[in-house]
Order: sequence, then C-alpha cells, then structure tokens
Amino acid sequence: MSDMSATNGQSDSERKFIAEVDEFQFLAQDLEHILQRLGSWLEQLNGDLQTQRLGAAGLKPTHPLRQQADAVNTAVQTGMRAWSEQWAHLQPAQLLADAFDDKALLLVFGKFNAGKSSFCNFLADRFALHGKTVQYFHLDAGYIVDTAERFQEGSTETTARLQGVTLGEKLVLLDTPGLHSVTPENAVLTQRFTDSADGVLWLTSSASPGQVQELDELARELHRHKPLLPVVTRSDMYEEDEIDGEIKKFLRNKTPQNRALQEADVQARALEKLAAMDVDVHQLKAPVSVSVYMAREGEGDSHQTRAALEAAGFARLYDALLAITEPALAYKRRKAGEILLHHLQENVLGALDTNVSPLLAELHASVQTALLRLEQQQERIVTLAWRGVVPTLPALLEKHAAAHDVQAACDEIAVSSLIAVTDAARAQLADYEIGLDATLARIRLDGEAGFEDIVVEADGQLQVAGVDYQRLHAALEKAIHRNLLRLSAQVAEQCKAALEGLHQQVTDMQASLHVRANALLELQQELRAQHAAGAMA
Amino acid sequence: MNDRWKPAARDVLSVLPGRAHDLARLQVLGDGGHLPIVTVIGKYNHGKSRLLNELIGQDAFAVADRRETVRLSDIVHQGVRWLDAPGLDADVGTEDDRHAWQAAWLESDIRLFVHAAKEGELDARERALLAELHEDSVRTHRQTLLVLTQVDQLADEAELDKVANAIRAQASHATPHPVSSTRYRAGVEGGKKLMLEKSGIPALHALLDAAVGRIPAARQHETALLYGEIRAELQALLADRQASLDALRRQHQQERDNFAQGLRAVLAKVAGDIDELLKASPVGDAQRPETADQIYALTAAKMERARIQIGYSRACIEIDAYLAGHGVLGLPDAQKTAAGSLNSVMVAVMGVSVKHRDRLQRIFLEAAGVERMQREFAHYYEVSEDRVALAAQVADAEVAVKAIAQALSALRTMEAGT
Repeated sequence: MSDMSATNGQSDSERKFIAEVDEFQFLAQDLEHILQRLGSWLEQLNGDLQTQRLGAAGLKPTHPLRQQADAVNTAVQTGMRAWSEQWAHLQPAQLLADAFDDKALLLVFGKFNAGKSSFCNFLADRFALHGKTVQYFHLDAGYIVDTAERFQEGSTETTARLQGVTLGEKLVLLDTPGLHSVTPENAVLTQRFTDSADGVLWLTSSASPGQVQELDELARELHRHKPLLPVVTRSDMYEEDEIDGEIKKFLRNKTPQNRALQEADVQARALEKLAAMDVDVHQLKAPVSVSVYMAREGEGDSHQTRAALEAAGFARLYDALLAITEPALAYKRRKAGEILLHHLQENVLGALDTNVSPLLAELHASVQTALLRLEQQQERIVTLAWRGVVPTLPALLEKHAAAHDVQAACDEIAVSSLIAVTDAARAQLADYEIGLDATLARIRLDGEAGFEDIVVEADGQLQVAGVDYQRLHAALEKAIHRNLLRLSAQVAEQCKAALEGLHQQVTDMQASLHVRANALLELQQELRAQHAAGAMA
Repeated sequence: MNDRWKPAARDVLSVLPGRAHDLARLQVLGDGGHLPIVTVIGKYNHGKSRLLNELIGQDAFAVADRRETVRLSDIVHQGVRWLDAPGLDADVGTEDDRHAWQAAWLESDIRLFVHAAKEGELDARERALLAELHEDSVRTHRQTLLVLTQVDQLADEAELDKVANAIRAQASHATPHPVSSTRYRAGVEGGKKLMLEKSGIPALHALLDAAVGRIPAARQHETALLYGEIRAELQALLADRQASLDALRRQHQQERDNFAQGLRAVLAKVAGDIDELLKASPVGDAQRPETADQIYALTAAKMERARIQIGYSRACIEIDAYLAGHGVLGLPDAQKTAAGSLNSVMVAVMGVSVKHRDRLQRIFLEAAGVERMQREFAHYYEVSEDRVALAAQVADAEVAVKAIAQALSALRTMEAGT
C-alpha cells in the first residue's frame, strides 16, 4: 500500500460512499410493544399446547393410535424444550452486540473460491487510502481479538476462521468460513457471527456465478428480512497469444455486455430461489460485477486509478453498497423484533409444522380407518362367538332335557356366550379397554319354546315317547344370535366412543394451531409496517 | 430385433415393474441402428458447449457466459451422437427433469465429465456424480473421461498442476485431461502451432476415438449383465412364490382333511345313536287295528315313530353343532327355512323330516348314505366364507407363479431374438 495523495486517484462514487458511511445514524426505536405482543403470543401457544395434550382414553398403551397420540405429545414436549433452548442460544452474542451496536454490519458470504478475502482487503485498503481507520479482528476462543494481519488471500477451504474488518467508524465486514466448512466446534460461534449482521453481500465467482442453492445456508437471515446484494467477483479473464514461440497471457475485465448478461442471469435465478424459499423478493438488490485484480492493476498510476476502478466495476459496487445500507440500517432498528419473530416463525411454528402437524394428520386418518374397521370387527366377534357357543348346544340340551329345565339351559348359555364374546373381543379388539356388561348376557326366548314331551296315545292313556327339543334348539339359536349381537354392539360402542373422543381432541389441536399461525402472521405485518425502513436522519 | 421381443418384454415387465428402465435399456442396446452416444456433463458455465463445438469442428451448440436453457440438445457427427446435457446443478428444473437427464448421462456410451480448471477443486456434487459414474463404469463398462476445461484461464502451468493434483486426490479413479477450447480455436484460425498443441484438444480427440472403438464390446457386456440380473431376480421370485403357494395348498388341504375327519366322527356317533334306537324299537308297519294285538301294535308303531322323530332331531342338532363350529352354517336368519326349525343346508342335505326307519337306516347306517352326507356337507363347507377366501388366495398364488414362469420363458425369447 503506497502513501498516496488524495483526490486524483479516487472515484466520485468511492468518495461519496466512504463519506456517507461515516454519517450513518443509529436511532433507537421503541420495539417494546411489539416484543410484548410476540411474547404473549408464545405464552398463549404454550398454554394451548399444555391443555390440549392428547388423552387417548379407552385405548391401551399397545394400541397403535394411542402410540401415535403419545408420539404427538412427545413431539410437542420435545419441541417446547427445544425452542426454549434455541431462544437461550439466540440471545445476542454480547461480545459482538456491544462492540458493534453503533455500526452497520455486512456479512460477506460465499464459497471459498469467491474471493472474499481479496474483496475485503481491497475495500480496507481503499478506506485507508481515504484516511479512515481500518481495524482487522478475528474471533479467538470466543473473544474478539484485534490484529494487524489482513485476511489471507488464496487460501483453501480448510484455513477458515471467523474474522472481520472495521472500515471507518460505522461499517464492519464480517467473514465466516466458506460454505460447507463450518465444523461442529465453530458452528455456534459462526451462527452468532452471522446473526449479528444487518445485511448480506453474497459473493459469487464469475466462473460459475449464481449457484443459488448456496442461499439455503442463508435461509434464517433472509427470513429475518435482511437485504441481500449479489456481487459477481473475479469478473475478469485471460486472453492469450502466441508471441515469439511462447504463449503470453493478458488479464482484462470482462466486457460490460458480458457482465450485464451474468448479472441478469444471477438476478433472475436468485429471485426464483427466494420465491421458492418464501422470502420477500424485495430483499434482493440488483447484482454488480467486480474484479479486484484489475482494480489493483490500475493502482500504479494516480491518473488511471479512477478509470481502473470504474472499469473494474467498483463505481457500481459503491453505489450498490450505499443502496443496501439503507435497508440494512432499517433492519438493525427492528432487529430485536425480527429475531424474536423469526424465532417464533421457525423454531416454534415451523417446528410444530414439521414435527407435529404431519403426525396429527396421520393420526386423524388412522382414527377414520379404525372407525371403519370397527364395523367389520364387530361382525367378526359375533361370528367367532357363534362358532364357539353353538357346538355346545347338543350336550347342554341333553343335560337339561330330563328335568325340562329351560331356565338352567338359558343361564348356562348366557355364561358361555359372555365368555365367547369376551374371548373374541380380546382377540379382535385387543388394544381397546373394554368392559363387558354381564347383565346384557341374557337369553330370552321367543314364544313358548321348551322341552317337549312327545306323547303317544295308547289305550286311552298317554305315554311319553321321549323329550324333543328341536324347536327349543331353533329358538335358542335365535336368542343366542340376538344376545351376541347385543354384547358385540356394546363392546364396539365403547371402542367407538374412545376413537371419537380422540378424533375430537385431534381436530381441536389442529384448529388451535391454525389460529396461532394466523395471529403470528398479523404480528409480522405489524412489525414490518410500523417499523419499515425510515430515512436515515 | 425380431417382433417377438416387445411382447415378451411386457411379460417380464408385468412381473418385475421395477425393471422398466433396464428393459428399456435392453431394447435400446438391441436396436441395431443405435449410434454411439457421447454426452458432455458438468456444471453450467464450465465450457461444455465450447468443448463440444471444438470437438465437432462446428458451432453447433449455443455458447454464453451464463447458464443456458435447460434443454438436452444433440447432433450427429461422423457416426457419433453428441449430447450436450444441461448443468448438473441443483437449481435446474424439477425432480422429473433431473431424472430424465440423469438417465441420459447414465445411458450414454461415453461421458465427458467437464470441470473448469479455474474453479479449483471439485465440489461435493461433482464428486458425488463422478463417483456414481465410476461405479456405473465398473458395472456396465460404459466409459467416463474427466476433462479439465478453460485451462487458459489459469495464471500458469504450476497452477494447473496444483489443480490437477488436488482433483486426482479427490477422485483417484479419474485422470484429468486438460484442454482449452479458446486456445484450440485461436490455434486453428491463426495457424498457431503451439497454441494448437497446448490446447489438449487433439490429444482428447485421440482418446475419444479409442474409447468409441471400445463401445461394441461394452454394449455386449452390459446386455449380458442385464439379462443375467433379470433372470436371477425372476428365479428368486419364482422360488419364493412357489414356496408360498405350496404352504397355502398344504393349509387348504389340511383344513379340508380336518373337517372331513371331524365330520366322519360326528356321523359315526350319530349313526351309533340311531342304530341303538332302531334296535330298541320293534319292526312293524302301521296297520288298521282289528285286534287287541293290533291295537297294541299300533301303539307300538306310534311310539316307534315318535322315538324315531326324536332320534332324528337329535342327530340333526348334533350335525348342526359340528357344522356351526366350522363356519359352514351362517347366522340363523339367513339360513332358516319357512319351517323355522331346520336351516337350509340341513334341509338341502337331509330333507325336511324323516318318519320312517328305512329312511333313517339308509341315510345314517348305510355306507352309501353316509358317504352322501359326507360329500354334501363337505361341499357346503367349501362354499363357506373363510374357505372361499382361502381358495381365492391359493388361486392368486397360482396365477402369480404362472406369470413368473411365463416371464422366465419370455426372457429366453428376448435373448434369442436380439
């Protein structure tokens, strides 16, 4: 970095940008009201979830539906614990919040080969050239440590750390390890670093610009409504020629037409991606292209610097940076609200949506299926019990024939019917809690069927040929059938009641979640409307 | 391929729907007029289209410094079909599109996997795809060449070496072949021999020619491989289904035997009771009483008739009990006749009521009568709900086994016909 005299070598855009940065104002804004309402929303939800625990009365623990209901309850409890913990983790990292409360923080985001370090170093050099203070820092064991070292350029994915640089008094660039390079150890810190940013610069190399799947990693920040500026870096290329038996290379900027083509492409696909992610497309700012390398080449001559900066795309970059700082500062004013809102949307409702709602829907469907099946099961119980009781009739009737004891026969059959139905119900409806009402097991015969003495007249006398019980048998079969139907129906009714009870609980829970979701949407609109980007004072 | 191939393939497909893709592939492989296919695969903007244009010697494919449209385009040049596949990036199209392209990549005889040197190492997606292609190569003998493009955009040879080494470490099964389409074009148009040579394109040409030469053998290998796999799958399936069928048949037979045995025992008991009954009653016809003896005889006959009636009703109740226990009789209401006492199966087999001892004798005590009852009750047993259901299961299993056997036969037809 040479010691240069000022104005000739600087572009207007650059001067304007650097001057305005130092004019940033950080107004406090009263978010208490909305924060309170967001808090009440959560309290209401927690309360609802507690009272709406699924009961599954009448279903044994082995019943699949009870297990599904238990799974729902568990998922809710797990969720509630999780979002408490997550909220604790989200408390603004003190180290960064205090240090940078009065500065605009821009996250410099992109793959390892996107040229983040050279980009940041270059901007730092430019600020320094304008006489502004520049301070590099990095995170070491959770502490911010100032350093004189610039960012390492040309490094590979593996050497990555949380670092940043303060440009002047009011602007900070934050750099995190490249995508896919976050280790479990630094994940939490990386998250805090990322959290504290007010806006995002998405650097993407001109070789394959705009790989929008990278934006997935920014989902949380984008859902908090932070602005996003894509910067196409390394917008330069080699031209070759064979000269004196050697291949000579010349680096030059990509043409404006070429850059326009790439920027339009990146913008179109980024918009698509944001829409697909359910992010407000207005957060996306128009992409610009730069070549740090070419900008540096022009630094040698104070006359050429301005032209070189412009040709390398930096005039447009500075304008774009100014354009993004306004929404970034607006975000900063709303920040506490945005963070809480997003936490509720994603960690609370989002988690419920992902983990609980599908289970509820499944359970709902399962209950319907079980209710339908109940009819078949009821019939099957009657059939099985029938097959158990009727074969006992011959011996039973024979036993009571001599004494003509119809009542005794009926009593015995009542008992065996009850046993048969109980057994069949235990098999068919094993997982339901059922009680059989013994008083319902009655055998009532139609008409006067009974043991009949077959009498033959002889010599004016009546002789008994024997006892017939064919009609009695037929009557008994009818009565047994009625009895079995009654008993089976009683059992099925209990199961039905249990299922319908569960069904009601499920629909209640689904309804209340729906209500909560709508309420939160309203709060979101309120937050953004009332605290929309105001002018910088 | 003869015209018995397609219908035979359908037989196989109906049994193994999961092999639809492989069968389609076999059809393609068997198609004599099928040109060798070279597909260029890679992320967008890595120089696929430029490379293709240089290899073919025509500006056939659209080139731009941005992601181009998402269509598969192709051209035939010197007996080879060249395909330019859209980028393998995640943000390209729907899942269906991806599957279609992946099929295209997989199915090409030669895959030129392209990666821009300036990008440095392969990213995760590229590594995954290269690994997949490599696995596929090992299995089917389709070939993959790894091409490092746009090497003119690197600062110098040292950087090229660095990138090439890094990539070799990531994908040890692939050799990176460096090329520069720009250099080649400049070399050709400007007659610059060094640029031409350093473009790597002539060397790549030579590699491709050699690879194209190996295609027929690769296709033969793949054909044999697919037929082998399908056959093995069918055979395993056949064994499995056959075992199921056998088990079902055994169950069906066992139940039938059990029923018959049980019925035999009940009928024997009933026969015993009736036999005793008949022995205890004097034989005689009812006649007009004229004497005291005859009056006595009349009474005796009346008694006998009464007892026979009772005995018969007992027998029916016993049999009814057995049949009910085996699900032969449905529930009462459906079965009762107008008489209200015997159900319809009993009536059908036994008749309405029996008054004469001769009839009883014939039905219960004579072999022919017993056999008749045995047979007829067995018939009603077979039409009862559960039996019908089991019979249907057996029938379904038989159909399934037959279909598999037919598929195996069809497979032989297919192999013979290509």
